[in-house]
Amino acid sequence: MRVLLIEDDVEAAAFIVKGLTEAGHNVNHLTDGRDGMTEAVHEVYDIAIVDRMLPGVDGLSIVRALRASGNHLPILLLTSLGGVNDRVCGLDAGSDDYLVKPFAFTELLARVNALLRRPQLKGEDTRLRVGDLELDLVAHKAMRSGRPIDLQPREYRLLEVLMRNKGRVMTRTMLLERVWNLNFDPKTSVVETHISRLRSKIDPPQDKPLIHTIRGSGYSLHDDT
Amino acid sequence: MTTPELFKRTAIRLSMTLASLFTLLLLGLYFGLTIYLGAQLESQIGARMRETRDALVIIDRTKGYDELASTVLDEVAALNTTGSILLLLDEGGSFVAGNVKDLAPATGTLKIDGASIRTAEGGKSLRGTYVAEWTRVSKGRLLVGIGDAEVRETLGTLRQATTWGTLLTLCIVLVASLIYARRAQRRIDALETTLTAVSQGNIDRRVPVAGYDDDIDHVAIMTNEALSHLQKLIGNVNQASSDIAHDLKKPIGRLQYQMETTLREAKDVGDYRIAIMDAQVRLAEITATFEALLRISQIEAGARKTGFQSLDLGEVMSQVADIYDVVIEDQGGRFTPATPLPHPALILGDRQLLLQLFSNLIENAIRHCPAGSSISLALEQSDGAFRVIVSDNGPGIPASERENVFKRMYRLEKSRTSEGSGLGLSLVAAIADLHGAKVTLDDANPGLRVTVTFANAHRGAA
Repeated sequence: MRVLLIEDDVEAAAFIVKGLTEAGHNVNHLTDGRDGMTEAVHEVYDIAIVDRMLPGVDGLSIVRALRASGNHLPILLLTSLGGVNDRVCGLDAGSDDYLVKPFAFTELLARVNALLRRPQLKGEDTRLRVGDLELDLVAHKAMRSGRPIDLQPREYRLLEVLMRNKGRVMTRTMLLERVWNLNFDPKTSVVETHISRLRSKIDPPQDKPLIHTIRGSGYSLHDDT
Repeated sequence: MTTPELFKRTAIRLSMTLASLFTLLLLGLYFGLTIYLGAQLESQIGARMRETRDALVIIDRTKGYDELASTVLDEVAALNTTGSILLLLDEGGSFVAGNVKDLAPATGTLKIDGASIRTAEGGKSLRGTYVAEWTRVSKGRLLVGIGDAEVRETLGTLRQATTWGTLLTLCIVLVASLIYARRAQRRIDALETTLTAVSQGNIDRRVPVAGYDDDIDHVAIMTNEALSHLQKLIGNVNQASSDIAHDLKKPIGRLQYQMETTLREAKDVGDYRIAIMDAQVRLAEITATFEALLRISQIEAGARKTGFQSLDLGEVMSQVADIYDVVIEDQGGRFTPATPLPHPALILGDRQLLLQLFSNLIENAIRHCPAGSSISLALEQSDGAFRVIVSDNGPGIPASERENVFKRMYRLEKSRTSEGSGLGLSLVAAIADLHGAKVTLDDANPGLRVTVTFANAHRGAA
């Protein structure tokens, strides 16, 4: 995928470029806000990673300008401002996700991949399917090999998020945001505990495991071996 | 203070404006009065003149022309002032009796200027204006007139007196108002002096309050409150800086020693790998601590208050329960969620911050209670206030320590070995403060009970 990185911190940028390139992406790195904006407007990219503090034009202005011109390019905003209002500001400006520095590269990669997902379903789809696991979105019921599975509301929601992002790594923070609507990290093992409960219900020993733990990153649901 | 500067002072300006206005009004009143009196004067003179004339005409009619002439003579002799003029002419227009001469008959009410009149004896002219009328009598014509000279003189004296009186009043009023104005001005100047001192860095200066309980006092009190708040904020910033310096340097220092040790002692790639992974964990902790300190400072500065919305505490409670029930049960503990109230518990607040607040309280309980402990939430309402209660049956906090736990990085001695940067409860205090809520710690016998009281129940659509 073609990634546009607008980041003036050269070391951080090198780190990101290296990691994304190794993950198979094509990265164009610019250090100036104005140049970055021009590039985003005139060229075609699959995703833009924009630092909030930039020389020239700042990140928020770039995001606003792109959205105002009708550009729907997925944008991930990077910032050292982990502060109270900043996330809201960033999302309000039109960015799709928001990551506070310093971050683990796996977090960045997981979020980039989540933003790159193409919507597989055109129009309303009422079922999600991974392997022999099925989720009925209308009846809110899950089934494995035809066996109905009884899920608590939170477990259902967790499973839905994992299935919608089938094959992608979902980090702890991403799951906390999407399943529990939390923008901070409670120290305790909320995600782990719920994952293990979910596992015990949908990944019984006799079936092929679908929920995978990616060490150092997060979790992923898929049926490849 | 130079004169132009003096006039820029509000109090002085105000008092001089009022004094001048008062004086002008007074003068206006007096002059209006004298004009009115003047007009009254004229009609009264006219009335007196006609009275006199009518009396004389009656004499003419009842006793005859000669009697009239003789009365006029007597009158003239009796008159020792020239307040009245009398002139009797015969049919041919010749002088018969009177105290003036050379005046020709005319119709209507006349106003004759005294300067144009000649006295019968001596031919002197008179002062003032005479309101006079010619009347036909049996054998001639009679002129009766009354002059206003004397009364006008009296009026003139009155006007002079009132003018001087007014000027005197003006002076007194000016002086008095200047005195009062200076007093008020001094208080305003005190405000200015204090604020100047504060802007130069003396943050503990306060404005003197005179005790009159008037508007200047109120401004002074408000200013002092603002200054105290400012001082507190500056104190917080300083506190935050020293906390950061002290409390972040420790783990950073530890990291450094760890790196040095690794360089000295590591033998193979495996050792290095482990050391680096350890370092990553420590770095994450340092970052989290830093973020928390920053967040607390921002919250204390009130940064988030503009984002407040109406929300239901009951919903927040169930969101919190959603996160922790499974976690606590998995550790062998018991979790009791809050029973919802029959109606929404609406307050104005920030959802994420409140989630963080209760999250911290529960985590605190999880961290300090042994496995198998019981943790419960409750939501109560009384007197327009909502109370959220987080309680556990763990070791609790001794009464003597409860005040201290909210200070930034304070930790109870016995918990120094457990994880956590110790910022959890100070973040709780900061968020509660921002929401106007009070946090109290009590003994749960056994265990700890934390009560967060929201006094500002918000009436509005959920």
